[in-house]
Amino acid sequence: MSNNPPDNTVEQRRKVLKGALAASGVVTMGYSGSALASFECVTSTDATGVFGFKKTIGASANWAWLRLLVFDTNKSNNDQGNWKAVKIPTGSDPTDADTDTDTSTYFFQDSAAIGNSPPLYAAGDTALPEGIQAQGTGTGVYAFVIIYFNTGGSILGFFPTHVQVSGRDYPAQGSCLTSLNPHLDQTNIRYGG
Amino acid sequence: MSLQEDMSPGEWLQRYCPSLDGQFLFLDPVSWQTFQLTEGAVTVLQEAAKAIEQDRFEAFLADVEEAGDWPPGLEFLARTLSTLHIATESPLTA
Repeated sequence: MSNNPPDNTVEQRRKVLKGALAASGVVTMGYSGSALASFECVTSTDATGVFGFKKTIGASANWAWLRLLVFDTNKSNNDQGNWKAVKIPTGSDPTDADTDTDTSTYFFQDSAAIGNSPPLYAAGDTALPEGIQAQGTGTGVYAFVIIYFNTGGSILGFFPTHVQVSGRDYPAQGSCLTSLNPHLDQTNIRYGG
Repeated sequence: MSLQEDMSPGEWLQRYCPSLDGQFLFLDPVSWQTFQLTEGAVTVLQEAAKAIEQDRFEAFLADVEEAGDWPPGLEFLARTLSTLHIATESPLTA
């Protein structure tokens, strides 16, 4: 049996090839360990093993996280469950963090028993104490949510206001971002694991 | 490094030629150099990958010559893709 495709397919392919060759351009970027790291850590990673929210991040990895100021709530006393709040950007701008503009307020229980990655609850969640509200100007303590990037190193959004789409949105490591997007706005971004 | 193992030219392009704001970044599987490509250049490499996988790379090279020959730098990249096919197809032919 012949492997040759039919003639009309060959002609079609030659036509496509001619157009593509005319529009071809190649620029050598050079050997780059950091570029290779970028391929590996942006295009081939997913969120497996990466918790979306952490009260503290360790130095064992360099995932990019959005740093969030922790706010007290009107349910912050120990006998009320020690609930705290963070204000997470709803878009892709890290500078919106901690403000009341373009953010959603999420609540978590600050307790050693629950650990470093407590569940985050959106306002209105039935698990929250009734009437809970963020209060004050911040406790001076910070927490962190993972940032999702596209393969070009641009921010797509933040956990959990941005719903990660498998195969498109990735957490990223600092080594990726320095090569793929050296102009990334680093406001409120920290690296750790 | 062993990223090339068990990866066809098409799979290599899919994984190591991501789109970046209208341009494409290509990782050469032989030299590990990176190249910025236009969409047209990526189309040519995709056609090259198909030809390699279907064992008609020589015919593809002839088609390119007939269509106006290679733009600078692109033939080298197409040939590096063909090394992936050799790596996965050549063993144990005795």
